[in-house]
Amino acid sequence: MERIGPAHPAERIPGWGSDADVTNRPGIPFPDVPHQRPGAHFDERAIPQQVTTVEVLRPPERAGGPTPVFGTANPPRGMSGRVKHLAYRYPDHLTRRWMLLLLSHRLDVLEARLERAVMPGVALTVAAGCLILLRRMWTTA
Amino acid sequence: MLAVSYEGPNRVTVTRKPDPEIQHPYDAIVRVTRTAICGSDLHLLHGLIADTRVGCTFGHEFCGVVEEVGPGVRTLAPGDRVVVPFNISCGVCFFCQRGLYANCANTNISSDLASGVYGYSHTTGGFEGGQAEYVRVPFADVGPLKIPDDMDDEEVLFLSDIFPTGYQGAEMAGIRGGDTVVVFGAGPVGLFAMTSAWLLGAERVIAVDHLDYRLEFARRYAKVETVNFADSDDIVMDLRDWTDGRGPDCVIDAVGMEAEGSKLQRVLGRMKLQAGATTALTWTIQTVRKGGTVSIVGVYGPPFNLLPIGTAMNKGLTLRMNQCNVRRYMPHLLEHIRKGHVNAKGIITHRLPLTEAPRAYDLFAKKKDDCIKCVLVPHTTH
Repeated sequence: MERIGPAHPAERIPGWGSDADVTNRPGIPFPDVPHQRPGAHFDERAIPQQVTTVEVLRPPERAGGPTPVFGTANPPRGMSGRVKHLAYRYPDHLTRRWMLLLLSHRLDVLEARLERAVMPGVALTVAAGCLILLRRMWTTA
Repeated sequence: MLAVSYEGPNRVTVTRKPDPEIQHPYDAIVRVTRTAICGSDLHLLHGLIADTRVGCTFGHEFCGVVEEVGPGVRTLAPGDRVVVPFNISCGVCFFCQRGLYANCANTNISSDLASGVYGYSHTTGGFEGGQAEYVRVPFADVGPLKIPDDMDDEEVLFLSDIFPTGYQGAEMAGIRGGDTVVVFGAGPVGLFAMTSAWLLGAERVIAVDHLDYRLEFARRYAKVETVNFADSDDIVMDLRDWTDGRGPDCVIDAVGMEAEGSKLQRVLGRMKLQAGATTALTWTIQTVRKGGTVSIVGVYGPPFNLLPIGTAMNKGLTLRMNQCNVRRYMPHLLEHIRKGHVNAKGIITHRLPLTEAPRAYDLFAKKKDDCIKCVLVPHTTH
Protein backbone atom coordinates (compact mmCIF):
# COMPACT_ATOMS: atom_id res chain seq x y z
CA MET A 1 0.00 0.00 0.00
CA GLU A 2 1.28 3.44 -0.94
CA ARG A 3 0.73 5.86 1.93
CA ILE A 4 0.85 9.65 1.90
CA GLY A 5 3.06 11.66 4.23
CA PRO A 6 1.92 12.89 7.63
CA ALA A 7 0.73 16.33 6.47
CA HIS A 8 -2.97 16.95 7.14
CA PRO A 9 -4.97 16.99 3.88
CA ALA A 10 -5.86 20.64 4.47
CA GLU A 11 -2.18 21.47 3.89
CA ARG A 12 -1.83 19.61 0.59
CA ILE A 13 -5.30 19.50 -1.06
CA PRO A 14 -6.67 22.65 -2.73
CA GLY A 15 -10.22 23.33 -1.53
CA TRP A 16 -10.07 20.62 1.15
CA GLY A 17 -13.20 20.71 3.30
CA SER A 18 -14.85 23.54 1.35
CA ASP A 19 -18.08 21.48 1.21
CA ALA A 20 -17.72 20.00 4.71
CA ASP A 21 -20.80 21.89 5.80
CA VAL A 22 -23.70 19.69 4.67
CA THR A 23 -25.80 22.76 3.92
CA ASN A 24 -23.23 23.56 1.22
CA ARG A 25 -23.78 20.28 -0.63
CA PRO A 26 -25.91 20.62 -3.76
CA GLY A 27 -27.48 17.15 -3.50
CA ILE A 28 -28.77 17.53 0.06
CA PRO A 29 -31.57 16.99 0.92
CA PHE A 30 -32.03 14.00 -1.30
CA PRO A 31 -34.76 14.15 -2.50
CA ASP A 32 -35.04 17.93 -2.44
CA VAL A 33 -37.98 20.07 -1.37
CA PRO A 34 -40.21 20.08 -4.48
CA HIS A 35 -39.87 23.15 -6.66
CA GLN A 36 -39.87 24.11 -10.30
CA ARG A 37 -36.37 23.73 -11.71
CA PRO A 38 -34.46 26.52 -13.49
CA GLY A 39 -35.38 26.81 -17.15
CA ALA A 40 -38.59 24.80 -16.80
CA HIS A 41 -40.98 27.53 -17.91
CA PHE A 42 -43.91 25.22 -18.67
CA ASP A 43 -46.51 23.17 -16.86
CA GLU A 44 -46.16 19.39 -16.96
CA ARG A 45 -49.70 18.93 -18.28
CA ALA A 46 -49.05 21.44 -21.07
CA ILE A 47 -45.89 19.83 -22.53
CA PRO A 48 -46.53 19.29 -26.25
CA GLN A 49 -46.50 15.70 -27.44
CA GLN A 50 -43.72 14.64 -29.85
CA VAL A 51 -45.09 12.90 -32.92
CA THR A 52 -43.23 10.53 -35.19
CA THR A 53 -43.77 8.17 -38.08
CA VAL A 54 -41.10 5.81 -36.75
CA GLU A 55 -42.21 2.77 -34.78
CA VAL A 56 -41.34 3.22 -31.10
CA LEU A 57 -42.06 0.34 -28.72
CA ARG A 58 -43.75 0.99 -25.39
CA PRO A 59 -43.88 -1.37 -22.41
CA PRO A 60 -46.97 -1.81 -20.18
CA GLU A 61 -45.64 0.93 -17.87
CA ARG A 62 -46.34 3.38 -20.68
CA ALA A 63 -49.77 1.98 -21.56
CA GLY A 64 -51.30 5.37 -20.68
CA GLY A 65 -49.49 7.01 -23.59
CA PRO A 66 -46.02 7.87 -24.84
CA THR A 67 -43.73 10.17 -22.90
CA PRO A 68 -43.80 13.75 -24.26
CA VAL A 69 -40.36 13.24 -25.83
CA PHE A 70 -38.64 10.07 -26.89
CA GLY A 71 -35.82 8.77 -29.04
CA THR A 72 -36.49 7.59 -32.57
CA ALA A 73 -33.19 5.87 -33.28
CA ASN A 74 -33.05 2.38 -34.79
CA PRO A 75 -36.67 1.25 -34.95
CA PRO A 76 -37.23 -2.51 -34.53
CA ARG A 77 -36.72 -4.55 -37.68
CA GLY A 78 -36.37 -8.14 -38.86
CA MET A 79 -36.48 -11.15 -36.60
CA SER A 80 -34.85 -9.23 -33.74
CA GLY A 81 -37.63 -6.66 -34.01
CA ARG A 82 -40.25 -9.38 -33.64
CA VAL A 83 -38.59 -10.59 -30.47
CA LYS A 84 -38.47 -7.00 -29.19
CA HIS A 85 -42.21 -6.69 -29.77
CA LEU A 86 -42.64 -9.73 -27.57
CA ALA A 87 -40.24 -8.39 -24.90
CA TYR A 88 -42.06 -5.07 -24.69
CA ARG A 89 -45.24 -6.87 -23.73
CA TYR A 90 -43.75 -7.34 -20.29
CA PRO A 91 -42.97 -4.70 -17.65
CA ASP A 92 -39.36 -4.17 -16.62
CA HIS A 93 -39.66 -5.96 -13.27
CA LEU A 94 -40.10 -9.30 -15.05
CA THR A 95 -36.98 -11.27 -15.96
CA ARG A 96 -38.53 -12.60 -19.17
CA ARG A 97 -38.48 -9.09 -20.61
CA TRP A 98 -34.71 -8.79 -20.16
CA MET A 99 -34.03 -12.29 -21.41
CA LEU A 100 -36.05 -11.61 -24.57
CA LEU A 101 -34.17 -8.33 -25.08
CA LEU A 102 -30.91 -10.21 -24.67
CA LEU A 103 -32.04 -12.68 -27.34
CA SER A 104 -33.15 -9.87 -29.64
CA HIS A 105 -29.75 -8.19 -29.28
CA ARG A 106 -27.93 -11.34 -30.37
CA LEU A 107 -30.33 -11.72 -33.32
CA ASP A 108 -29.85 -8.06 -34.22
CA VAL A 109 -26.07 -8.54 -34.35
CA LEU A 110 -26.45 -11.71 -36.40
CA GLU A 111 -28.83 -10.05 -38.85
CA ALA A 112 -26.48 -7.07 -39.26
CA ARG A 113 -23.50 -9.38 -39.90
CA LEU A 114 -25.45 -11.41 -42.44
CA GLU A 115 -26.54 -8.22 -44.15
CA ARG A 116 -22.95 -7.00 -44.31
CA ALA A 117 -21.82 -10.33 -45.71
CA VAL A 118 -24.66 -10.86 -48.16
CA MET A 119 -25.34 -7.33 -49.43
CA PRO A 120 -22.12 -6.95 -51.46
CA GLY A 121 -22.93 -10.26 -53.16
CA VAL A 122 -26.49 -9.17 -53.91
CA ALA A 123 -25.28 -5.83 -55.27
CA LEU A 124 -22.73 -7.59 -57.46
CA THR A 125 -25.35 -10.02 -58.81
CA VAL A 126 -27.80 -7.18 -59.57
CA ALA A 127 -25.05 -5.16 -61.30
CA ALA A 128 -23.96 -8.17 -63.36
CA GLY A 129 -27.58 -8.88 -64.29
CA CYS A 130 -28.08 -5.29 -65.42
CA LEU A 131 -24.92 -5.44 -67.52
CA ILE A 132 -26.01 -8.66 -69.20
CA LEU A 133 -29.47 -7.20 -69.87
CA LEU A 134 -27.99 -4.01 -71.34
CA ARG A 135 -25.64 -6.00 -73.53
CA ARG A 136 -28.51 -8.13 -74.87
CA MET A 137 -30.60 -5.04 -75.55
CA TRP A 138 -27.62 -3.50 -77.36
CA THR A 139 -26.98 -6.56 -79.51
CA THR A 140 -30.68 -7.12 -80.37
CA ALA A 141 -31.03 -3.44 -81.28
CA MET B 1 -23.00 13.98 -40.49
CA LEU B 2 -20.36 11.63 -39.13
CA ALA B 3 -21.31 9.57 -36.10
CA VAL B 4 -20.09 6.56 -34.15
CA SER B 5 -22.17 3.49 -34.92
CA TYR B 6 -22.44 0.34 -32.80
CA GLU B 7 -21.98 -2.78 -34.92
CA GLY B 8 -22.20 -5.48 -32.25
CA PRO B 9 -20.12 -6.49 -29.23
CA ASN B 10 -16.60 -5.00 -29.29
CA ARG B 11 -17.13 -3.25 -32.61
CA VAL B 12 -17.91 0.36 -33.45
CA THR B 13 -17.41 2.20 -36.71
CA VAL B 14 -17.74 5.80 -37.82
CA THR B 15 -20.42 6.23 -40.42
CA ARG B 16 -22.53 8.84 -42.20
CA LYS B 17 -25.98 9.41 -40.73
CA PRO B 18 -28.70 11.98 -41.43
CA ASP B 19 -28.33 15.21 -39.44
CA PRO B 20 -30.64 15.33 -36.41
CA GLU B 21 -33.78 17.43 -36.67
CA ILE B 22 -35.97 19.35 -34.25
CA GLN B 23 -38.68 16.85 -33.30
CA HIS B 24 -40.31 18.74 -30.44
CA PRO B 25 -40.80 22.46 -29.69
CA TYR B 26 -38.44 22.24 -26.69
CA ASP B 27 -35.59 20.63 -28.67
CA ALA B 28 -32.27 22.13 -29.69
CA ILE B 29 -29.64 20.87 -32.10
CA VAL B 30 -26.09 21.11 -30.79
CA ARG B 31 -22.93 21.00 -32.89
CA VAL B 32 -20.62 18.85 -30.82
CA THR B 33 -17.16 20.28 -30.16
CA ARG B 34 -15.90 17.76 -27.61
CA THR B 35 -17.27 14.35 -26.62
CA ALA B 36 -15.79 11.73 -24.34
CA ILE B 37 -15.93 7.96 -24.03
CA CYS B 38 -17.30 7.00 -20.63
CA GLY B 39 -16.53 3.81 -18.74
CA SER B 40 -20.22 3.00 -18.96
CA ASP B 41 -19.99 3.19 -22.78
CA LEU B 42 -17.84 0.09 -22.46
CA HIS B 43 -20.80 -1.79 -20.95
CA LEU B 44 -22.67 -0.94 -24.18
CA LEU B 45 -19.68 -1.86 -26.30
CA HIS B 46 -19.44 -5.24 -24.61
CA GLY B 47 -23.13 -5.94 -25.20
CA LEU B 48 -24.05 -5.89 -21.51
CA ILE B 49 -26.84 -3.30 -21.59
CA ALA B 50 -30.21 -4.61 -22.72
CA ASP B 51 -31.71 -3.33 -25.98
CA THR B 52 -28.55 -1.79 -27.39
CA ARG B 53 -29.39 -1.80 -31.08
CA VAL B 54 -27.01 -2.22 -33.99
CA GLY B 55 -26.53 1.15 -35.70
CA CYS B 56 -27.10 3.31 -32.62
CA THR B 57 -24.71 6.11 -31.67
CA PHE B 58 -23.19 6.17 -28.19
CA GLY B 59 -22.08 9.23 -26.25
CA HIS B 60 -23.53 10.93 -23.21
CA GLU B 61 -20.61 13.21 -22.33
CA PHE B 62 -20.45 16.14 -24.72
CA CYS B 63 -20.44 19.89 -25.09
CA GLY B 64 -20.85 22.10 -28.10
CA VAL B 65 -22.52 25.05 -29.74
CA VAL B 66 -26.26 25.48 -30.21
CA GLU B 67 -27.06 25.40 -33.95
CA GLU B 68 -30.85 25.55 -33.91
CA VAL B 69 -33.64 25.75 -31.34
CA GLY B 70 -37.28 24.71 -31.40
CA PRO B 71 -40.04 27.33 -31.17
CA GLY B 72 -40.63 26.67 -27.45
CA VAL B 73 -37.01 27.21 -26.32
CA ARG B 74 -36.54 30.48 -24.40
CA THR B 75 -33.16 30.45 -22.69
CA LEU B 76 -30.86 29.24 -25.48
CA ALA B 77 -30.08 30.72 -28.87
CA PRO B 78 -27.92 29.65 -31.79
CA GLY B 79 -24.28 30.33 -31.00
CA ASP B 80 -24.54 29.60 -27.26
CA ARG B 81 -21.83 27.28 -25.96
CA VAL B 82 -23.30 24.59 -23.74
CA VAL B 83 -22.34 21.52 -21.75
CA VAL B 84 -25.15 18.97 -21.62
CA PRO B 85 -25.96 16.60 -18.72
CA PHE B 86 -26.26 12.95 -19.66
CA ASN B 87 -29.77 12.76 -18.18
CA ILE B 88 -32.61 14.04 -20.33
CA SER B 89 -35.01 15.63 -17.86
CA CYS B 90 -38.22 17.64 -18.12
CA GLY B 91 -37.69 19.72 -14.96
CA VAL B 92 -41.35 19.62 -13.97
CA CYS B 93 -42.38 16.04 -13.16
CA PHE B 94 -42.69 14.62 -9.62
CA PHE B 95 -39.04 13.50 -9.67
CA CYS B 96 -37.44 16.52 -11.35
CA GLN B 97 -39.20 18.85 -8.90
CA ARG B 98 -37.37 16.97 -6.14
CA GLY B 99 -34.03 17.28 -7.90
CA LEU B 100 -34.07 13.65 -9.00
CA TYR B 101 -33.31 14.46 -12.62
CA ALA B 102 -31.96 10.96 -13.17
CA ASN B 103 -35.42 9.57 -12.47
CA CYS B 104 -37.44 11.90 -14.73
CA ALA B 105 -40.81 10.41 -15.65
CA ASN B 106 -41.22 12.17 -19.00
CA THR B 107 -38.22 11.20 -21.09
CA ASN B 108 -37.86 7.43 -21.15
CA ILE B 109 -40.55 5.80 -23.21
CA SER B 110 -38.95 2.35 -23.08
CA SER B 111 -38.67 1.70 -19.38
CA ASP B 112 -39.57 3.02 -15.95
CA LEU B 113 -36.05 2.40 -14.61
CA ALA B 114 -34.42 5.77 -15.21
CA SER B 115 -34.69 8.99 -17.19
CA GLY B 116 -33.81 9.20 -20.84
CA VAL B 117 -30.06 9.22 -21.48
CA TYR B 118 -28.18 10.23 -24.64
CA GLY B 119 -26.77 7.30 -26.55
CA TYR B 120 -27.37 4.70 -23.89
CA SER B 121 -29.52 2.01 -25.52
CA HIS B 122 -33.28 1.80 -25.78
CA THR B 123 -33.41 0.87 -22.10
CA THR B 124 -32.95 4.60 -21.50
CA GLY B 125 -35.21 5.90 -24.22
CA GLY B 126 -33.53 5.21 -27.56
CA PHE B 127 -31.97 8.66 -27.97
CA GLU B 128 -28.99 9.13 -30.27
CA GLY B 129 -25.76 10.03 -28.50
CA GLY B 130 -23.19 12.77 -28.71
CA GLN B 131 -20.33 10.86 -30.32
CA ALA B 132 -21.34 12.56 -33.53
CA GLU B 133 -21.00 15.90 -35.24
CA TYR B 134 -24.51 16.97 -34.20
CA VAL B 135 -27.00 15.82 -31.59
CA ARG B 136 -30.63 16.47 -30.75
CA VAL B 137 -31.07 17.86 -27.19
CA PRO B 138 -34.64 17.60 -25.82
CA PHE B 139 -35.87 19.95 -23.06
CA ALA B 140 -33.09 22.35 -24.02
CA ASP B 141 -34.12 24.96 -21.44
CA VAL B 142 -33.74 22.47 -18.57
CA GLY B 143 -30.58 20.42 -19.09
CA PRO B 144 -27.79 22.33 -20.83
CA LEU B 145 -25.57 24.74 -18.90
CA LYS B 146 -24.13 27.72 -20.73
CA ILE B 147 -20.34 27.67 -20.70
CA PRO B 148 -18.87 30.91 -19.30
CA ASP B 149 -16.76 32.83 -21.82
CA ASP B 150 -13.66 32.55 -19.65
CA MET B 151 -13.71 28.74 -19.67
CA ASP B 152 -12.73 26.38 -22.46
CA ASP B 153 -14.70 23.32 -23.53
CA GLU B 154 -12.41 20.76 -21.95
CA GLU B 155 -12.51 22.49 -18.55
CA VAL B 156 -16.26 21.92 -18.34
CA LEU B 157 -16.76 18.81 -20.50
CA PHE B 158 -16.83 16.47 -17.52
CA LEU B 159 -19.65 18.41 -15.87
CA SER B 160 -21.79 16.37 -18.28
CA ASP B 161 -21.31 13.21 -16.22
CA ILE B 162 -18.21 11.96 -14.47
CA PHE B 163 -17.40 14.90 -12.17
CA PRO B 164 -20.99 15.19 -10.86
CA THR B 165 -21.21 11.38 -10.69
CA GLY B 166 -18.04 11.17 -8.62
CA TYR B 167 -19.18 14.06 -6.44
CA GLN B 168 -22.63 12.55 -5.88
CA GLY B 169 -20.92 9.28 -5.00
CA ALA B 170 -18.92 11.04 -2.31
CA GLU B 171 -21.93 13.03 -1.15
CA MET B 172 -24.16 9.94 -0.89
CA ALA B 173 -21.41 8.31 1.18
CA GLY B 174 -22.27 10.86 3.87
CA ILE B 175 -18.66 11.91 4.41
CA ARG B 176 -18.07 13.92 7.59
CA GLY B 177 -14.90 15.64 8.76
CA GLY B 178 -12.28 13.10 9.81
CA ASP B 179 -13.77 10.16 7.91
CA THR B 180 -11.73 7.54 6.11
CA VAL B 181 -13.05 6.86 2.63
CA VAL B 182 -12.21 3.94 0.34
CA VAL B 183 -12.92 4.26 -3.37
CA PHE B 184 -13.05 1.07 -5.42
CA GLY B 185 -12.01 1.90 -8.98
CA ALA B 186 -9.36 4.40 -10.04
CA GLY B 187 -10.95 5.18 -13.40
CA PRO B 188 -12.31 8.63 -14.27
CA VAL B 189 -15.39 8.46 -12.00
CA GLY B 190 -13.30 7.05 -9.16
CA LEU B 191 -10.78 9.88 -9.55
CA PHE B 192 -13.53 12.47 -9.26
CA ALA B 193 -15.03 10.62 -6.28
CA MET B 194 -11.62 10.86 -4.60
CA THR B 195 -11.17 14.58 -5.27
CA SER B 196 -14.76 15.16 -4.14
CA ALA B 197 -14.14 13.23 -0.92
CA TRP B 198 -11.43 15.78 -0.10
CA LEU B 199 -13.82 18.67 -0.84
CA LEU B 200 -16.29 17.12 1.62
CA GLY B 201 -13.63 16.97 4.34
CA ALA B 202 -12.38 13.37 4.35
CA GLU B 203 -9.23 12.83 6.38
CA ARG B 204 -7.99 9.75 4.53
CA VAL B 205 -8.86 8.61 1.02
CA ILE B 206 -7.70 5.21 -0.24
CA ALA B 207 -8.02 4.10 -3.87
CA VAL B 208 -8.29 0.40 -4.79
CA ASP B 209 -7.70 -0.94 -8.30
CA HIS B 210 -5.70 -3.67 -10.03
CA LEU B 211 -3.96 -1.51 -12.63
CA ASP B 212 -0.70 0.01 -11.41
CA TYR B 213 -0.74 2.86 -13.91
CA ARG B 214 -4.17 3.96 -12.73
CA LEU B 215 -3.10 3.83 -9.09
CA GLU B 216 -0.01 5.85 -9.93
CA PHE B 217 -2.24 8.39 -11.69
CA ALA B 218 -4.55 8.50 -8.64
CA ARG B 219 -1.61 9.18 -6.33
CA ARG B 220 -0.46 12.03 -8.53
CA TYR B 221 -3.83 13.50 -9.54
CA ALA B 222 -6.00 12.96 -6.46
CA LYS B 223 -3.21 12.72 -3.85
CA VAL B 224 -4.66 9.59 -2.29
CA GLU B 225 -3.24 6.43 -0.75
CA THR B 226 -3.46 3.45 -3.07
CA VAL B 227 -3.58 -0.31 -2.96
CA ASN B 228 -3.47 -2.87 -5.75
CA PHE B 229 -5.86 -5.68 -4.87
CA ALA B 230 -3.97 -8.01 -7.21
CA ASP B 231 -1.04 -7.80 -4.77
CA SER B 232 -3.22 -8.61 -1.76
CA ASP B 233 -4.18 -12.08 -0.54
CA ASP B 234 -7.34 -10.68 1.02
CA ILE B 235 -8.19 -7.09 0.18
CA VAL B 236 -11.05 -6.94 2.68
CA MET B 237 -8.85 -7.95 5.61
CA ASP B 238 -6.05 -5.65 4.48
CA LEU B 239 -8.33 -2.62 4.22
CA ARG B 240 -9.73 -3.33 7.66
CA ASP B 241 -6.22 -3.65 9.09
CA TRP B 242 -5.21 -0.32 7.57
CA THR B 243 -8.24 1.43 9.07
CA ASP B 244 -7.86 0.71 12.80
CA GLY B 245 -9.27 -2.81 12.40
CA ARG B 246 -12.81 -1.48 12.04
CA GLY B 247 -12.92 -0.76 8.34
CA PRO B 248 -13.42 2.58 6.59
CA ASP B 249 -16.36 4.84 7.45
CA CYS B 250 -17.51 5.19 3.85
CA VAL B 251 -16.89 3.12 0.75
CA ILE B 252 -17.68 4.12 -2.81
CA ASP B 253 -18.18 1.65 -5.65
CA ALA B 254 -16.95 3.35 -8.82
CA VAL B 255 -16.48 0.11 -10.73
CA GLY B 256 -19.80 -1.43 -11.69
CA MET B 257 -20.64 -4.59 -13.55
CA GLU B 258 -17.31 -5.35 -15.23
CA ALA B 259 -15.27 -5.78 -12.07
CA GLU B 260 -12.13 -7.88 -11.95
CA GLY B 261 -11.03 -9.86 -8.91
CA SER B 262 -13.25 -12.92 -8.85
CA LYS B 263 -13.28 -15.64 -11.47
CA LEU B 264 -16.57 -17.00 -10.13
CA GLN B 265 -18.28 -13.63 -10.50
CA ARG B 266 -16.93 -13.18 -14.03
CA VAL B 267 -18.09 -16.64 -15.09
CA LEU B 268 -21.56 -16.10 -13.62
CA GLY B 269 -21.74 -12.77 -15.41
CA ARG B 270 -20.63 -14.19 -18.74
CA MET B 271 -23.16 -17.02 -18.43
CA LYS B 272 -25.85 -14.37 -17.80
CA LEU B 273 -26.72 -15.95 -14.48
CA GLN B 274 -26.39 -12.42 -13.15
CA ALA B 275 -25.99 -9.00 -14.76
CA GLY B 276 -22.18 -8.75 -14.85
CA ALA B 277 -19.84 -9.20 -11.89
CA THR B 278 -20.53 -7.72 -8.46
CA THR B 279 -17.04 -8.25 -7.08
CA ALA B 280 -16.38 -4.60 -6.22
CA LEU B 281 -19.81 -4.13 -4.69
CA THR B 282 -19.40 -7.24 -2.59
CA TRP B 283 -16.06 -5.93 -1.32
CA THR B 284 -17.59 -2.55 -0.42
CA ILE B 285 -20.15 -4.27 1.80
CA GLN B 286 -17.56 -6.54 3.37
CA THR B 287 -15.00 -3.77 3.90
CA VAL B 288 -16.98 -0.86 5.32
CA ARG B 289 -17.19 -0.61 9.10
CA LYS B 290 -20.37 -1.58 10.92
CA GLY B 291 -22.89 1.24 10.71
CA GLY B 292 -20.98 2.71 7.76
CA THR B 293 -22.21 3.80 4.35
CA VAL B 294 -21.80 2.23 0.94
CA SER B 295 -22.35 4.52 -2.02
CA ILE B 296 -22.86 2.99 -5.45
CA VAL B 297 -22.24 4.92 -8.65
CA GLY B 298 -20.89 2.00 -10.67
CA VAL B 299 -23.44 0.87 -13.24
CA TYR B 300 -25.25 -2.45 -12.81
CA GLY B 301 -27.72 -3.82 -15.29
CA PRO B 302 -31.05 -5.52 -14.76
CA PRO B 303 -32.48 -7.97 -13.95
CA PHE B 304 -30.53 -9.17 -10.87
CA ASN B 305 -27.16 -9.54 -9.17
CA LEU B 306 -25.70 -11.73 -6.45
CA LEU B 307 -25.00 -9.65 -3.35
CA PRO B 308 -24.18 -10.35 0.32
CA ILE B 309 -27.27 -8.53 1.51
CA GLY B 310 -27.26 -10.48 4.81
CA THR B 311 -23.84 -9.02 5.60
CA ALA B 312 -25.15 -5.54 4.87
CA MET B 313 -28.17 -6.11 7.09
CA ASN B 314 -26.19 -7.52 10.00
CA LYS B 315 -23.60 -4.72 9.83
CA GLY B 316 -26.34 -2.08 9.91
CA LEU B 317 -25.13 -0.45 6.71
CA THR B 318 -26.62 2.41 4.82
CA LEU B 319 -26.67 1.74 1.09
CA ARG B 320 -27.04 4.80 -1.15
CA MET B 321 -27.20 4.79 -4.92
CA ASN B 322 -28.60 6.43 -8.02
CA GLN B 323 -27.65 7.51 -11.45
CA CYS B 324 -26.33 11.03 -11.02
CA ASN B 325 -28.76 13.96 -10.97
CA VAL B 326 -26.23 15.87 -13.03
CA ARG B 327 -28.02 19.19 -13.50
CA ARG B 328 -28.28 19.67 -9.75
CA TYR B 329 -24.49 19.67 -9.38
CA MET B 330 -23.30 21.54 -12.45
CA PRO B 331 -23.25 25.17 -11.21
CA HIS B 332 -21.66 24.19 -7.89
CA LEU B 333 -18.92 22.09 -9.46
CA LEU B 334 -18.27 24.68 -12.16
CA GLU B 335 -17.20 26.99 -9.33
CA HIS B 336 -14.83 24.36 -7.93
CA ILE B 337 -13.18 24.15 -11.35
CA ARG B 338 -13.03 27.92 -11.67
CA LYS B 339 -11.45 28.27 -8.21
CA GLY B 340 -8.79 25.72 -9.10
CA HIS B 341 -9.92 23.16 -6.54
CA VAL B 342 -10.33 20.55 -9.27
CA ASN B 343 -8.41 20.33 -12.54
CA ALA B 344 -11.14 18.49 -14.41
CA LYS B 345 -9.40 18.35 -17.78
CA GLY B 346 -6.28 17.01 -16.09
CA ILE B 347 -7.60 13.47 -16.46
CA ILE B 348 -7.58 13.60 -20.27
CA THR B 349 -4.80 11.38 -21.57
CA HIS B 350 -5.89 10.98 -25.20
CA ARG B 351 -7.48 13.30 -27.76
CA LEU B 352 -8.47 11.86 -31.13
CA PRO B 353 -10.62 12.99 -34.04
CA LEU B 354 -14.11 11.51 -34.11
CA THR B 355 -13.08 9.53 -37.18
CA GLU B 356 -10.68 7.58 -34.97
CA ALA B 357 -13.37 6.55 -32.48
CA PRO B 358 -12.76 2.80 -33.02
CA ARG B 359 -9.11 3.26 -32.02
CA ALA B 360 -10.15 5.38 -29.03
CA TYR B 361 -12.54 2.64 -27.87
CA ASP B 362 -9.78 0.07 -28.27
CA LEU B 363 -7.33 2.19 -26.22
CA PHE B 364 -9.84 2.82 -23.46
CA ALA B 365 -11.41 -0.65 -23.31
CA LYS B 366 -8.09 -2.50 -23.31
CA LYS B 367 -6.36 0.05 -21.04
CA LYS B 368 -3.62 0.54 -23.61
CA ASP B 369 -1.05 3.31 -23.56
CA ASP B 370 -1.87 4.13 -19.90
CA CYS B 371 -5.24 5.46 -21.02
CA ILE B 372 -7.35 7.22 -18.39
CA LYS B 373 -9.76 9.28 -20.48
CA CYS B 374 -10.32 9.60 -24.24
CA VAL B 375 -11.82 12.74 -25.73
CA LEU B 376 -13.09 12.75 -29.31
CA VAL B 377 -12.95 15.89 -31.41
CA PRO B 378 -15.56 16.08 -34.20
CA HIS B 379 -15.20 18.33 -37.25
CA THR B 380 -11.48 17.65 -37.54
CA THR B 381 -9.27 15.05 -39.14
CA HIS B 382 -6.15 15.37 -37.00
